[in-house]
Amino acid sequence: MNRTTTRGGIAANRTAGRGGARSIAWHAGSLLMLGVVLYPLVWLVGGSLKPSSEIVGSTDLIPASPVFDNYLSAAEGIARVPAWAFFVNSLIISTLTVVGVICSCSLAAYAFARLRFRGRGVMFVMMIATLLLPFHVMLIPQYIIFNNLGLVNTYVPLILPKFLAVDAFFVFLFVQFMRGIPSELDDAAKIDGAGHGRIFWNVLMPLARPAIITASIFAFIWSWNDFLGPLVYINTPGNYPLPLALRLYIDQEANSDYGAMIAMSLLSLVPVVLFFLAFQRYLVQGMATSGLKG
Amino acid sequence: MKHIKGRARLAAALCAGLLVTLAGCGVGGGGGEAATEKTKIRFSWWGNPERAELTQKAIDLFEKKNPGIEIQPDFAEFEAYWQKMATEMAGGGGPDVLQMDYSYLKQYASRNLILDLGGQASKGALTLTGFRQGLADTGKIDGKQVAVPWSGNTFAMLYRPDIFAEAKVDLPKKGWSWTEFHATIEKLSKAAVVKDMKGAGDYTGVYHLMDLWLRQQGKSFYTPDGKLGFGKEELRTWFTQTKQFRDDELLLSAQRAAQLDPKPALSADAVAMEPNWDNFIGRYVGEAPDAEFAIGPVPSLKPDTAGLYLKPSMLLSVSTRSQQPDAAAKLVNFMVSDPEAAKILGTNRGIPATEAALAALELNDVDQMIVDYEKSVADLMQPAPPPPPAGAGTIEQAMRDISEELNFKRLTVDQAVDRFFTEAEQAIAAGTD
Repeated sequence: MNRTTTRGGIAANRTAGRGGARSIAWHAGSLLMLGVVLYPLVWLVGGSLKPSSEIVGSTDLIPASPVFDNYLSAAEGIARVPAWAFFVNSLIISTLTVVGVICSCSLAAYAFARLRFRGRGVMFVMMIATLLLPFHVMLIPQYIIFNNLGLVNTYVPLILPKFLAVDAFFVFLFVQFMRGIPSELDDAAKIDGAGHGRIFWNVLMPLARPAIITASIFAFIWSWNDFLGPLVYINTPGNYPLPLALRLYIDQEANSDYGAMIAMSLLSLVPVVLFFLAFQRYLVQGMATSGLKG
Repeated sequence: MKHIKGRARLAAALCAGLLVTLAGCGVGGGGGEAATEKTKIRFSWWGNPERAELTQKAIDLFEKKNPGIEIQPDFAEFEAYWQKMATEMAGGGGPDVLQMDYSYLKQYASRNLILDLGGQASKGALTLTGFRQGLADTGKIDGKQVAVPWSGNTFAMLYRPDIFAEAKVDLPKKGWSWTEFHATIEKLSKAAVVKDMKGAGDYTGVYHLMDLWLRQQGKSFYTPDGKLGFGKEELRTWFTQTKQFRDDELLLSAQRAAQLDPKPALSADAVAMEPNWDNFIGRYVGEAPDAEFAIGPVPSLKPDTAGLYLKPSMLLSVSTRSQQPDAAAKLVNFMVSDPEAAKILGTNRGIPATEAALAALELNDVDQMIVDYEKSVADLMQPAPPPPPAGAGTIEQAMRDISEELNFKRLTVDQAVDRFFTEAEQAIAAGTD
């Protein structure tokens, strides 16, 4: 008895030892991968603390003597527009985009997922087909429309389409999610006297929370990083969002202020990261629940 | 149940409210415009924040002098600028006054997007005299004044005199030959004053230098009707010039250049000479404050013909869609010829195109170097070639890429020549950049 215990103990120890080695290898491997993945970010942080002249050319990851001049010159802004204004502009556009996408795409999706109407199949295919159109193809026709409406140099061209459910990707995302919600729930609500508005708002929307979160995160990040749309539609430097402002630091003919650009781009990451951190646990949950549907 | 109903209504009201606010944003923008009765001119340019600051100061002065006109500035980085301009112009919008590049001039003129300013000049809103040598006609396409040159620069050999001195090599001098140029490269590369520093990069990728080389033979890169002005034989000679250097590794390797990018080789201690536009010196001095820089002439086949010309480095055009062409022309005139504006703008866009503007400037050491160089080669200057055809940007890039492939030894000279002609002919046929 005693012996067996000892033997068992040794065996357990052995497995623990093997497991330990495996665990160390696993962790070391993970850390190595992490290092590779995080390298650009570390470089970005290091670069933002280097004097502008050292950024390109010097291969040191960590600056010998960190300086904060880059952040100061970034904070000064560009051409009489303070840096915070670019953040505010970006925030306005991105927030309204998220609201627009959630309001309109979920409604459109409800129609495709729950209503039976003539031409539903064809319209659904057409909507999906718009996913295949590159943005550049629609750029000029869209510009013509907004130019004729006199809405160029406002945020309307950037935000209005989001309220009209033109983002087929998000509509599709909601449709797929809503199809996974049992229609018996609708029937039950119908028996209680609920109409479409009520079913949509009180039955489907609360259940579609993971889809809402997912769509919000993507819509936020995409509009935060959008460059071409604001480039074409916004003409007043004071109304530029961040991606436009960042490009202004680069110049082929004169000195490019790489330092200020890197500092600014690092700062511009902060809201996206915060937004992601706040919602990411819902995102994982959303993927898990939609994944279960198969 | 009632409670739920209330919430649904609230949500609906919220969504609707947002839409209204959104519409309000648009109306708000327009409302401001109606309140004032000033003539509004939208003015676009490309450049960095420093240029924006200087331009804004000049605009402030213009608005003070012309109280009836309000300028709405907007600017972007070069590539983004043309992307935006292309969309706006195609979409029926666009600015009133736009900064123009020589390589885009023909394309915009042929699509009838930029106005013939001859009418405004005869009305007195614009003067078209007083330009520096050879620049006056560079804004004309088929006799129409579709652009006004704002600044002009010429091609040069930028070099590091400190490196030359240490390597005990003669400086580039007026009338030096290509043979001397090659000998200089060899000496500098072998001396390698700084570790791995070469005499020069593979200059066969520099389309402007090939243009000068052709001009020295009485030819040109493009014919006036926008075709290639040379044949395969010339290009083969051009690419073969540096073959021995490539084989002996006496030129900056394409690999090293790629590693340094976006930092230019000359200010990164990687080469001692670089053929480029003389205004680039300003950037290099700024990037490498400890190094010495100087400007010398390009090598030539015959001492008295260097093929040099003043190229308009930037121009100003007025859109054909402008509702206020006279006010727009006034702004163009102010930016180009007004001495006070010139003082504010300095040499940020290059050496001013008009004598009056140049005379008003207080030049710093670097500017003085450029002006002195341009004066020293004044007797070699020829009229500028006609604006390059649409597609020239693509061809310039192809030249660079193919020369790089040669440097990597992925192509032989014959393959390089064939590939260039295929790509160049395609680009000219397509007629877009």
